[in-house]
Amino acid sequence: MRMTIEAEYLPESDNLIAELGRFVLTNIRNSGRGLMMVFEAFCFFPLFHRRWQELVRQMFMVSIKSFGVVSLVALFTGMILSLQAGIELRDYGQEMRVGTLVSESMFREMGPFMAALILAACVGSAMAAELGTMAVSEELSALEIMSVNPVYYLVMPRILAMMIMCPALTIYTNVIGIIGGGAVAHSQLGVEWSVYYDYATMYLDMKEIMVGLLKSVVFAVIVSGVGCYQGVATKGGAVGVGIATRRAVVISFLLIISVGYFITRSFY
Amino acid sequence: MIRFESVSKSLSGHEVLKDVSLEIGRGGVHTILGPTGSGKTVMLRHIVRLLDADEGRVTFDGADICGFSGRELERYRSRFGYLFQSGALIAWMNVADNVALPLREKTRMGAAEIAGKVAETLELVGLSGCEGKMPDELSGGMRKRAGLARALITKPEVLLLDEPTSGLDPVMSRKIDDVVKSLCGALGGTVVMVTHDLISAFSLSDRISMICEGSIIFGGDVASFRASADERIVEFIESQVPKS
Repeated sequence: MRMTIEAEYLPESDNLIAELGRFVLTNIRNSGRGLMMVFEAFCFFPLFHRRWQELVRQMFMVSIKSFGVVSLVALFTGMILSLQAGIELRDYGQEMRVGTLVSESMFREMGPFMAALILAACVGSAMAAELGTMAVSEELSALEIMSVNPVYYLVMPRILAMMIMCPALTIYTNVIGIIGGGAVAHSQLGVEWSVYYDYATMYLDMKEIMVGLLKSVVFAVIVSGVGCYQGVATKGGAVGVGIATRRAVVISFLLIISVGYFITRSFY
Repeated sequence: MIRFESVSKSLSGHEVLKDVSLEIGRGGVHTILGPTGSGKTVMLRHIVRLLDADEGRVTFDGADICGFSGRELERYRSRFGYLFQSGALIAWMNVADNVALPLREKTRMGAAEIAGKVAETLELVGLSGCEGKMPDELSGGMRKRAGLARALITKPEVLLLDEPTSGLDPVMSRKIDDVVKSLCGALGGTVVMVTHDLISAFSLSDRISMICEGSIIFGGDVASFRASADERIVEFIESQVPKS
């Protein structure tokens, strides 16, 4: 099997319809290649112990690079949810129920969604840039000639690290979001901490937690898969690295939003 | 040993190799000369199947290398050492780890044995004491020598050198030539070098081929290359070695 991963870009045309066709075909082909690369990386998972040092390094990168931003975004997401819902609920004298709304929103949707978006921006883009730089400086070709499969050596540890750390960061996001929501509920809406906590946990069942975690695992594969594919398929020097990085972020965002909808729809 | 049979290759709509036929025999230094952008590196990449021919075929000891896949391709590639134009060292590994990489990943050698071989190979290319340095701490010449050490550590049957002296000052270029020359004597294998540096080519080569705009226009020894009346060759030689 050839190891080289090359994105395919068909020649441009002045004809609008031909250009549309080119766009569709190019994207379908490259999606197929990207999926094949992710599948190949999955096949290498049983060999993760041989790359454990790189796996630990990537887990560290995933968590540390995004930890500060995740904390801030999660805190404010919870605070905004609590404030917006709490003001409306107060009109009906139901502001004590704001905890339920915040925790359900965080666990079902906002936690996995916000964590994945931040990881796409912080880590997915970094993966594309790092692997893209390796591609244009011939480091990937050097690995191939040494018969070291770049998917095994570089892509597998990145995808696995993301699949481990994304759910962990999602749980952290949920917890910080609920704390942020509680702070607003207590300070702005006058809800006692104990009441907020009771309502936050009252309706939260295992299904909500598990679906949220499933989403985070799927989003992890999307972010790392897209980032790695865009990186290893980079062509065209520094400009190509910039394009690959931008593509990695945009494609990840679009896939996270659309795939997130379909997962929600299939479970609720 | 390595034979290009009517190989054509287009990249981004531009025909880089046009019906190229060439035979590279076992042993000695075979240099592929040509101006920048003439298709030299593309030829080298075909030998290790980083690129596949659009038309024609490349054979190694009579076998069509396009038929190789999986383990067979791995075994085939393990017969080569490849020095990239940039050195292509892995940026986040130090020199010792870069040089040790093929042994760590593809052999069952122990850490001590690998460390010994790394030290020995770095000494061979004149980089002893640089084991702990990162690639961005090295000069261009040192980077190429580290890349050469990585290409040599598995004791390959064929060494492929892509512009080993490009971008280096004359003194460093001659140092690289000396390293390659001493290695040729020590290894006794085959070296295929791609370059536009005539001084390197003349001092190292047993046989020269010249490629121009994707076509081979000359094949022969150094003396017949220098004596060629082809105006493209004459112009190429005079551009680097002015008439006295």
